[in-house]
Amino acid sequence: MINQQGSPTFLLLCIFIALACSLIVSSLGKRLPGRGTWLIWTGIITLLVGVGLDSGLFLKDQFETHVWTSGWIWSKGELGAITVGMLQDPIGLAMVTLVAVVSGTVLLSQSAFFKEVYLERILTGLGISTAGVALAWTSLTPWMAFVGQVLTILGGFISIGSRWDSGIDAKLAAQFVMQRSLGFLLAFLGTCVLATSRPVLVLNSEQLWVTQMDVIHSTWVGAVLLVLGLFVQLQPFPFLGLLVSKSEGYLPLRILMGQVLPAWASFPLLIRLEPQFQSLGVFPYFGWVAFISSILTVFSGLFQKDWDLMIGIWLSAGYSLSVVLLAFTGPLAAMALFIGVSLAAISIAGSATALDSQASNVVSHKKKAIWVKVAVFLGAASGTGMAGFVTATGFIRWITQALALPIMTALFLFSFSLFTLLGWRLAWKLIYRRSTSRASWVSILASFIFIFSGLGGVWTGTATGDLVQGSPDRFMKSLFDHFFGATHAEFLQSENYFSASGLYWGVLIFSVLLAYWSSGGKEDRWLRLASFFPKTTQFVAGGYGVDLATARFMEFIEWLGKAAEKLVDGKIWADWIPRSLSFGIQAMSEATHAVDLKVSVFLGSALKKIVDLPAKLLQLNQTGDLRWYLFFALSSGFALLAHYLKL
Amino acid sequence: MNHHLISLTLIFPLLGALLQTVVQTPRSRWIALAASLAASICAMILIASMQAQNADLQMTESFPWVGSYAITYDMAVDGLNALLIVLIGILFPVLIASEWDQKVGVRGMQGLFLLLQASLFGAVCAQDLFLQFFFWGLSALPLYFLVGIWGGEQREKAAFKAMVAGSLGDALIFSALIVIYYSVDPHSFSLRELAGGKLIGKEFNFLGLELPVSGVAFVLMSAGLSLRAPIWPLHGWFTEVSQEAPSSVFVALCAGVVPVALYLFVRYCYVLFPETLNSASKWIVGVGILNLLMGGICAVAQKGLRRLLAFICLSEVGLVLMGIGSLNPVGVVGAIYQQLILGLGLAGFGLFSGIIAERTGNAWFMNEGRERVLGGIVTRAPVVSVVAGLVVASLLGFPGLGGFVGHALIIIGSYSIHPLTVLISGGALLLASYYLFTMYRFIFLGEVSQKSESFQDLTLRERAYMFPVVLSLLFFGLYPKPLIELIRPTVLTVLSTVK
Repeated sequence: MINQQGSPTFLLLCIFIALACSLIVSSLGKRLPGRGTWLIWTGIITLLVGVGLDSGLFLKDQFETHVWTSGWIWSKGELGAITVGMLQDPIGLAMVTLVAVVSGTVLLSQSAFFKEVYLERILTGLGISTAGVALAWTSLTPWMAFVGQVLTILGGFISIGSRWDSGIDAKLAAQFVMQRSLGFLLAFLGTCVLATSRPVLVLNSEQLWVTQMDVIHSTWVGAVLLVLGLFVQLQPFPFLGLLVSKSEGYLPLRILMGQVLPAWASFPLLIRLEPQFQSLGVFPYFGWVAFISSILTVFSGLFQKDWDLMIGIWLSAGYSLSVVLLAFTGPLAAMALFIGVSLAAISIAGSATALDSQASNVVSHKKKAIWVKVAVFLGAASGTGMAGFVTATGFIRWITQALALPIMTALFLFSFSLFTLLGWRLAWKLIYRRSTSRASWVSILASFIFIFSGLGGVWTGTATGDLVQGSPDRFMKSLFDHFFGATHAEFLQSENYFSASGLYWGVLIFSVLLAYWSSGGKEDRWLRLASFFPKTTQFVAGGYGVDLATARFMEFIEWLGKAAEKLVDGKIWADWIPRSLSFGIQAMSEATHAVDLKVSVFLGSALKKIVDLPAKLLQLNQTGDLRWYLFFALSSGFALLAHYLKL
Repeated sequence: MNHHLISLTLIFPLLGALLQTVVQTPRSRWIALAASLAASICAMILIASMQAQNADLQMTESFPWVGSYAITYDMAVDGLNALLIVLIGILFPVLIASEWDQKVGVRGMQGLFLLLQASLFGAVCAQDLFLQFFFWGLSALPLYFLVGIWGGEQREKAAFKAMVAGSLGDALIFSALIVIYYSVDPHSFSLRELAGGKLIGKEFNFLGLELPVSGVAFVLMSAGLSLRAPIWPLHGWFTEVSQEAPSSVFVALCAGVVPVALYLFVRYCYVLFPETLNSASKWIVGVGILNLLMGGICAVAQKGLRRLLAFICLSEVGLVLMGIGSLNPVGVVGAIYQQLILGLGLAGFGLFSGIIAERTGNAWFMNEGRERVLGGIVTRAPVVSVVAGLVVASLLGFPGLGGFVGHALIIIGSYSIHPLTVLISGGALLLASYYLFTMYRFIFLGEVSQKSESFQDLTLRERAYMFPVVLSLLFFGLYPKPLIELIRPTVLTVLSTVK
């Protein structure tokens, strides 16, 4: 029986089962019936069952948060400890449900990608990423959330690179994993630095990070690195290179696995640690970074020729804006935009892929095309903050809170209008394509499920998505109230509400019309504008040359590496050391030889001198000069001897 | 009380090596594997028998050896060397199995591997400086022959360079030993007797100069060990060996000898020279950072797997040095843990690169024009691709794998003392992600090249020896607690002496 204490670990078990199912598909996929689709379903249903059971307990306990925690390395509470744990709160459970629903819906519409040669790889990627997102949203500590993030990176890599034998897709998959790893490593480094100054790094703590002066430095550095790493996971500017590259893969999967799910795995840390980042002052700064990123991203999107590239760029701009909203308006607005734009992008990608440019006289194909275009229209409306969708909640709050500062309001409205313009430019381009659709009705329905999931009513409990003050259109309690508490009520009493509402509608209608004027007709006016400044627009559309600059930088690093290697391996070790050793040994040997020679000569001459005297004596004796002297000496000696011996 | 498990870990491989000289080929392979496995099993039992939360030396075994010079056969394990025993225990049976099909002089090769295994076990467990030096010096010999006989075209040159560098290093270490021995009264080589700052304040006279024993011995030992472990820019011999040595031999060097050299450095620094370590810690971290960065930068320029492995090793050594120099319990525990993980990670990398080299004829993954030479192996050999992926992920410190634990602990431990260096090391890790993923893409992904066309996946034997390496990386990444609990008390004790 699951109880309060056991429910977090039960959910962890469900996530583990979902992951295990995916791993089985990866290893046995081709040999499994239906290439393992049913196993991925099993994983998703397990997740939903886990959430369902936990939600039951949740309701019973009146939304009381449950946690399970354990010291993984070091005991929890010690400085430098790495702890793991599960956190069950309304937002976590809701997001696990959402990711399970989205993955399930993608599986439902699988006929669209069933033609993929390596379906089992795509299924594996989907299963792993789903488990990763679920884990990231239910993690109590950043360490555990990183596991979730890495799983989504792995899932994305497997899925994007499913056509591993294709050079383009392989390059994209490697580029994807490199960028995400960069984000992960930065976030990981930041968390390590944070861990040096605080004993327990948990995501449900209400304690702010403004602390003693001795740890403020590490706290600040850690927080900056963490936010930077998480922001990179949202694929903002300058990481547009991947988004502006053409791929042979199935577009909705590329959007879902390459952008949406990795972003969903990194956003929980940003949302949950928002009060801490605000208290440190990291967020206002990052808000501006994200703001500039969103504007640059949108401009890059506006000059794209291909609608399939535009979707990813628009989504990336939306994610940057979500961080802006998080920094300036708060987690509710950010979450609303984040969810809305994600679902809208998946829906538009799915619908756009369902449109077929080939003519067909079959009535059902034409009828389907109309429904697909309706889905595109609703998708754009959903993502750009139209009334009735959850994104509207985010934008209206953003404008209302910024109204006190006119310059900021102007900048925000400019950014909002650009984002909306890009979204609707994309939509009009798709809607005015001459096309039919051979997609299955289930695939078309899937797009509507995503749109439905992004409705304001689902999240805010109001028909308009909190656009009417006083909420007369409310039909149920807002989920955001459960997620974020009282912030919801505060906003509804704002005195700036009417001005904000007017600005919101004004900018929105202006952007929709401008998008229609520029992209809805036969002539694409953006491309016409681009033809006047071909190089500049090519530079902007190509991601501002960041990839080229990165390639140049890496070439420089490579040159540096070669130079260092040439110096150390090629010169010092292969030439200088052997030569100097050889020279040293030879010189020493020659010196020794010279000394030896001198010593020998000296010894020879000394010996000669020693030997010379007796030798000369002997020689004189031999030659006769000494002979008579010796004769007399010896005779005298003998005479003296004879005298004394009385001989 | 004497335990004989440590001696058994030495005797089995030595016996196996001896038997290689008399037993004929088909049987000799099994004997080599059995001897190595028996030693490994003893090593694992040894570690399993250790008491957690105990900082003392355990499982001791002590006999007088050369009584007149107070040299003892003193062996023991504690938190500093326990993980190295695990590493050697895993590594050598794997290496012996990887050379199962060696055509030329298989008995000699297996015998030398066994000799190397015994000497490394000895160097790790010895608690007497002379005995430790004996085993450490002995370990250079099998490597010389393994490179010189079974290596590539320039094998003799590479072996000679390695031997010269190693001998010079050993000479420096021996000088340090002599200085230490004569500085204490009664003269002693015993690490137990010299531990706890016994050398503090001791001086010796050299050419009329009064020099501190601790400082001089520290410099000599560090310099000596840096000629056996790759330290930039003293690593030239190492990269040359990487080119010429057979894959398994280079794995033995970078995954076996290098971690042991790092262990000796830890042991000497923290046990013998706590005072000097305090002032030299910044230099150690500086050298670590230099290694980490230069290893990373040079790795970016590589086009072949062998030299890439050499520079990854250089980089990893830098990371461990950062932890050693941190003087912080978290950092030092991380450095010790990372010795095990870097050994396993480099072993995995070396083994899969050896398999690729064997199948495709060479270990180059791109040509001079930076165009791919291999490619598409994942479609031909999914298992080897997964193994390579896991090894790469561990080297990068991805969660769930051993590298994550080591990297996290070292970074956490180092930051509070050297904040800037940790940030620089972040740059080095980013470089690592670039060159490792580039390598992975060029070999495993993309269109199938002509060379990869007939590439076969891992055979049963290859799976059998790759399995323990990958499993260990996963296991130690998911459940590091038991090993951390072994290391931690010893680290806290030795750190208390330093502080």
